[in-house]
Formats: sequence, C-alpha cells, structure tokens
Amino acid sequence: MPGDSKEFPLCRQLMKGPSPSHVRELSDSRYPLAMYEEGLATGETAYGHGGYISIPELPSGVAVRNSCRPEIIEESAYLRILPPAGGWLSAGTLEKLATCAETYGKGLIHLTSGGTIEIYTTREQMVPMVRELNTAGLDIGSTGNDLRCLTACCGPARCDMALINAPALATYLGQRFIDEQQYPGYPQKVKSGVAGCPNDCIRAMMQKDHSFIGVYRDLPQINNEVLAAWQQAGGDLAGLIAACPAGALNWTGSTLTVAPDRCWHCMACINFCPAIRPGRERGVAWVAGGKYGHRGPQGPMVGYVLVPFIPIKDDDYTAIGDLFGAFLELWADNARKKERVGDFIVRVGPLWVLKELGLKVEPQILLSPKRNGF
Amino acid sequence: MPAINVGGIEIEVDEDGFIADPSKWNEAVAKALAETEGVTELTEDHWKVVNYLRQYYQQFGIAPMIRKLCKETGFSLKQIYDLFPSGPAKGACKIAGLPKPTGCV
Repeated sequence: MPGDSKEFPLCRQLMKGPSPSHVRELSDSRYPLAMYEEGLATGETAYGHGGYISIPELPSGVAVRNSCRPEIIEESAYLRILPPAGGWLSAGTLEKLATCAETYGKGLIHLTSGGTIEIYTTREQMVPMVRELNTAGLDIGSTGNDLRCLTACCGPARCDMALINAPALATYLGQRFIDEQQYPGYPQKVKSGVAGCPNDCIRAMMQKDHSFIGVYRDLPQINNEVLAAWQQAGGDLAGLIAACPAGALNWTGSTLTVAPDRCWHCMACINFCPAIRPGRERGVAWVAGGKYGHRGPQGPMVGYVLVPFIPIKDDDYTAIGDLFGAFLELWADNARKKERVGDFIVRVGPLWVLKELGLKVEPQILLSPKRNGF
Repeated sequence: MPAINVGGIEIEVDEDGFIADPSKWNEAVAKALAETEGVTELTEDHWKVVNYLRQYYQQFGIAPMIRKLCKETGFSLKQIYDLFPSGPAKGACKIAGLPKPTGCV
C-alpha cells in the first residue's frame, strides 16, 4: 500500500485485525487499490459491464471488465486458465503461475469460485503469457459460449467418501473436449462438474449444466461390529435413525437394517456413522440442466437426472464421454440463441432428449424423483 | 469515418473496420480487408468460407449461426480460426464484406 497513511481509509479498515485480508493481498500486488476504495466509498463497484476480447491466436480465454473510472485504470482484462481437475496444484505449478502473473500481469492471481485461475494482464501481454503457460503444461479457455472448465471434487486423492475417481473423469472429459473449451461455438455457455459422491461438495447438481455424480446402486453396507463399538463410544443411534430422510433405517434391538425399497441412496447415514459405508456397485449418475443463473425462462434450477446409473469398469470413461458429446451436439443443434441446457430441456422435455439420444427411459426418475432411482 | 484504399479508390469502413456499404464489396476489397485481419493470402479455403457467408447474407440479410457455417462449409471451428485468426465474426465476416454481426458468429 502506498506510504501515506491517510490514503485509502476504507481499504485500511479491511486490513485491521488478525485474520487474512483480501485487501492486503490486493495492495501487495499492482492492482489499482484506488478502484476498490472508490467502490467502497460510493457503495457500488467502479467496474462496468464486461465482455470478451478478440485476440488472434486466442479464440477463447480472454475476458474483460470495463472501467467506470478510466483515469484510474482503463480496463481490466484477464486470462482464464483451465485448472487441473480437483484443484490439485503442485508448488512448482503455483510458482510458474506466480512468475507469469509477476512478469506479464499485475502480480495478482484470482482462484475463482467457478474453478478457473485468472491472471489480470494487458491485451499486449496475453499471447506471450499464454506461450509461457503452455510450456508449463497449462492451457487457457473457458470463456464465452463454449464448454467451460470441468470442475471436480478432490476425489479419492484425499476423501474417504469418494465413490468414483472424480478428478480422473474430469481430466478425461477435459482432454477429450479441449477444442470445445477453447473455440466458442455453442449457443450459450455450458458448465460441467464431477462429484465423487452424492454429497456433491462442489455443488455440481445446482451450479453446473452437466454434473456427473458418483453413486452406488446397491444398499449401504452396515458393519454391526463397528456399529456396536461406535454405540459404546457414545454414538447416537436414535439420532442416526432420525437422520435418514427416507426413514429407511430399522433397529431390531440388536442389528440395524436398511429397507431396500425406501433407501434413496443419499449419504446421510454414511456421513453420520462410521459403521455404515457406501454400497459396492458404483457408477455415475448424469444430471443435466442445473444452473444458478437468473436469466432464461426457468431461472435457477436443479438438473434432471437423465441417466441414474452409468457403470464404470477399469477406469474406462468412454461411454460417459460419448454420451456427453452426443448431448452437446443435440443441444447445440436445437437450442435457441442464448438458451442454457436447463431451459432447453424444460422446453423440449426430458423424454424427447432421452429418445433422441437413444437412451432407455427409466420412468421412476421422472414419475417419482427424489425416491429410489434404481 | 476511416477508410481503406483499394486500387486508388477509398472504401469507407466503420470504427471496427467493417465495410460501411456492403454493395461496394468485390474481390479486391476482400483482399484489402484481409490484410487488416492478418490474412496475407486468400486461399481456396478462405474463398469457400467467404463465398458461403456472402451467399447466406444475400439470401437472408444476416450472418449465419456459427454452427451452420461450420456444417455447411465442412470446416471445424478450429479450422475456421486457423484460416481467420481473429475468428468467424471479426475475421471472416469482415473479409466477406458483411456488416458487423451482433452476436452469434
């Protein structure tokens, strides 16, 4: 922060206290803090509407926010970098990103909630920076009407709940559809997420047009010995039974059982008690149409479960990739201008989509959603 | 208004370099516009895209949707970007003498 202690009083307020401060990070970079101070003072951001910049060699990946105070900063252009699946970044990659941000940008990196990595720079510095990023094994994309980056949860690399290898699936889809991520040719953006289990920590079902959720088709596995030990250590059995949203857990006095016709295959009991583990028959549920966006006739919506179970064998994700590609073609050929996947499915009907894709219609997922889909 | 010089004749273009009067377009103008977009030589493939865009524009009065352009010409979007580095809208449509497209392409 510039030396004068009277400068930027509102930003200084946000730097007080022991907790981390975003203002400290901003002021340590070459970000024009006057823009942020201006926004704090007037009660609204000093940035205007944004858009995309056409830069030869970079069909996608370059976006811009216009400035309402051009005397402070003319515009804020940034590159979107495709993140490695699961958010796993080695210290070496972080160092490379830091070097790029220092050399070509403002010394500032933004890890977005949407999963991408953004570096702010000027139009002239974009192409040289992309060349350097490419040599470090990183690539750009995810801007405009294209396939946005595929986000994934951390998966079995760290989590004990993971039913599928979410980062591996996201990496497979990301590499297979790399052109779609870099050349905007769709009617509207398409976001995708891969969650390792129905806990869906990355909010894929709500936020993403396409989500691939790890699911199990058989019943939760109960280990009665572990359950007894858990109870002895103070485990709340009544609380566990009450935690099941479907009322599928029964206590006979000595053993705990799951009612097969009632179980929704959510993760409530599994999260609650270490004696209950997910079933062994695992695969992927394909959910399409979720979005947070308020635009479009439907507004924010949760996706449709179009296929409740796609089996995965030997880490072969070809079938999922084929289905994903076929849907994207179907949607792009039939969607209206600026129509998100969710609005499209509502307009044409999920049954039409399933029929066009040649998929088996499983009536239970449409007639009684939120119930046992298997 | 800015202009480009084609064989001694001034052709008016808008602030983004798109031709102001599409009826003044001819092959020499296309070559001059191509140079402003970093396309040094117009090959057969370039002309295939340009001619398709002109034909569609003359028939419907608008630029085609990007996917239609790819399907009808048989080029992938990546190939279009290889031919016209600034893309189908800013590159191809400009060289084809179409007014600036509002969205899609």
